[in-house]
Amino acid sequence: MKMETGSNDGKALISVRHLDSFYGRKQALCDVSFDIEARRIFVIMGMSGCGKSTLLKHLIGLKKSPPDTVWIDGEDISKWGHREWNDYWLRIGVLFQNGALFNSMTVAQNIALPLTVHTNLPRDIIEIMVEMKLHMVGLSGTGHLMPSQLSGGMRKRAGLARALAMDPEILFVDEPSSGLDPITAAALDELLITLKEAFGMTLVVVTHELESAFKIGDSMIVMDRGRIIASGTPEEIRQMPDPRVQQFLNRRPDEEQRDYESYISRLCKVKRR
Amino acid sequence: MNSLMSFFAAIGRWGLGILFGLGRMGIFFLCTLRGIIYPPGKTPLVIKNIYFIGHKSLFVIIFTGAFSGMVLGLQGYYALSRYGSEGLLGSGVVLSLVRELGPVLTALMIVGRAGSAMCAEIGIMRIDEQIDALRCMSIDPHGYLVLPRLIAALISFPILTHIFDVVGVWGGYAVGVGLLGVNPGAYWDGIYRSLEWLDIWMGIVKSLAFAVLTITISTYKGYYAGVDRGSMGAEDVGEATTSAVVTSSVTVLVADYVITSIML
Amino acid sequence: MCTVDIKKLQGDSGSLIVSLSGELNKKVVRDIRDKILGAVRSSHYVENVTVDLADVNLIDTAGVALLVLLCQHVKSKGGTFRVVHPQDRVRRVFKLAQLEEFLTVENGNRQ
Repeated sequence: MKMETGSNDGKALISVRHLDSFYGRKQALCDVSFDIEARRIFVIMGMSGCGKSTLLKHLIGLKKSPPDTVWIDGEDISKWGHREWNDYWLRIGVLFQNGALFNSMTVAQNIALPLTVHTNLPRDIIEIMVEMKLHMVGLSGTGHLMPSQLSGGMRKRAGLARALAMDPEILFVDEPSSGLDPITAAALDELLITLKEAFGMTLVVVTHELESAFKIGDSMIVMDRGRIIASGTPEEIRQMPDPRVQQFLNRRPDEEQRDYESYISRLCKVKRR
Repeated sequence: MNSLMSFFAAIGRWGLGILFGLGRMGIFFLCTLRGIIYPPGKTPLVIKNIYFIGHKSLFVIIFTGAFSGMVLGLQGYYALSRYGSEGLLGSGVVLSLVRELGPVLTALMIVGRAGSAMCAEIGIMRIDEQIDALRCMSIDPHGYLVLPRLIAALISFPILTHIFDVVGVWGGYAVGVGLLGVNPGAYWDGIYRSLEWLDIWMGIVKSLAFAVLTITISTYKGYYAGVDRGSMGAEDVGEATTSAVVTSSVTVLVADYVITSIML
Repeated sequence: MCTVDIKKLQGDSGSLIVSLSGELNKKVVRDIRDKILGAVRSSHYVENVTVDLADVNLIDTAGVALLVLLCQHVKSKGGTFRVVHPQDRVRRVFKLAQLEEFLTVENGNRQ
């Protein structure tokens, strides 16, 4: 929302250098490096299980990053304490994959929660803000419903409205269009672009929807099995000769998955009755 | 030789696991207390939880209290009548209730009802990423989810325990005096003479201790449902809930012995 | 920081001009709401309220919500409400919230 903060147009707001990440002994990220510029839409693409969500967790502080790997606003986040993290979380909004709405509250109460906890805004103002956010995501008039009464796509959009409640500087979105019909997905893409233009928001979008990614992204990275296999503008990525990138872009199933001989041998191991 | 080594390794792993769990629960409790200094939410949550733990458990507590008192009246009468001491029934009933059965059974009933529900609720929030969502909104989950429940329990447990005691005493009266013919004057007199402040204090201390232990364990199990395994599914919540009830119940009984031996 | 300046138009006791300057964001909205509503309520007869945003360089949804609230309040008393001279960035936010018409946003040069 604030156009005149410390970060300038085009300079790196978030920097990642040689980030490795593990779940126990399993390596989820390997030597990941990239920059995210302020007031741009940065897209993280890749197939399921490639580490996109793990990377997102590092950027929003849900997974501890090793020293000298992730910098936000020029600060090494591994050195951050409670206060720095709380300040950061007040500046960002996060949309989780399933919306992550609180079941015991109505949609309107969900969206109003950060406002009631963190600001002294009067109730009538908060109610109007909630209506505005609902309208932005196409859910006007559903504020009184409980999350269990919404469809998956609606829950996601309500989650987005809540992520936008505090007018964040940085918006992190995990799979915004999954579960949405094409028209709603397109409307959501438009909304994300408008947010960047009207509010100067920086957006980090994790997705595997190619069309959406190329439409909204200013810069993107493609991941495969924990590594970055391509990074650049949408145009640059489209023209990359790397076969793995082309395979991802052209949606060709992995050749290994279609190994006919091992398929037949597995079938033959099934015991006959 | 190998199997012997792996046997010891398994024991070691189990032991370390217990230590790790205890340590993490301790940190969990301290983080919850931190919420007192930096309150993230507002008081309606405490009131809502008092209603949930306290008000909604009322019927169960009254019911259990009544029947506990009645059983005590029955058993007590037959035990005391062997020595011709039926007149002491009142003291027997009230001391058993106030010192032991009141706090312990109240805690166990609430664990079964509210503790399991809390664990499941928080566990579902965990697997649905709602706890992550709270953190990323700069709302401390310990202060917002756990602390109101803890405060509500600290208020509700002693009150419910006293209700249990009172109802139990009347239950004992109904059976002892009403059915078995004990002198009512002797019944109340026995109570008056034998009940001391220490007994009541013991009951209060126990109920407060049980409140802290059971709510901490139940919310802790829900909070970390599925986290260690890295899977986040419904079965993790089920496992956490079962574990919460069992662990809380056992802890109540162990703590009961410890507190009794200290205070007597 | 946001300052608010409320003027009654000379000779027209039913009109108020509210000039805001600075950042109209969630930190200041409560105070400004109280000041403006206080002024509106204390005047015996207010029909028209004009909010001049020429010097407001930043607005967030809390600020927009404040304008909506004032608009509702004035219109419910049968008056007119308009917002004048919003800067481009502020205008874009009105557009995103689809409130240009409701708030009667007018451009034109500042007089």
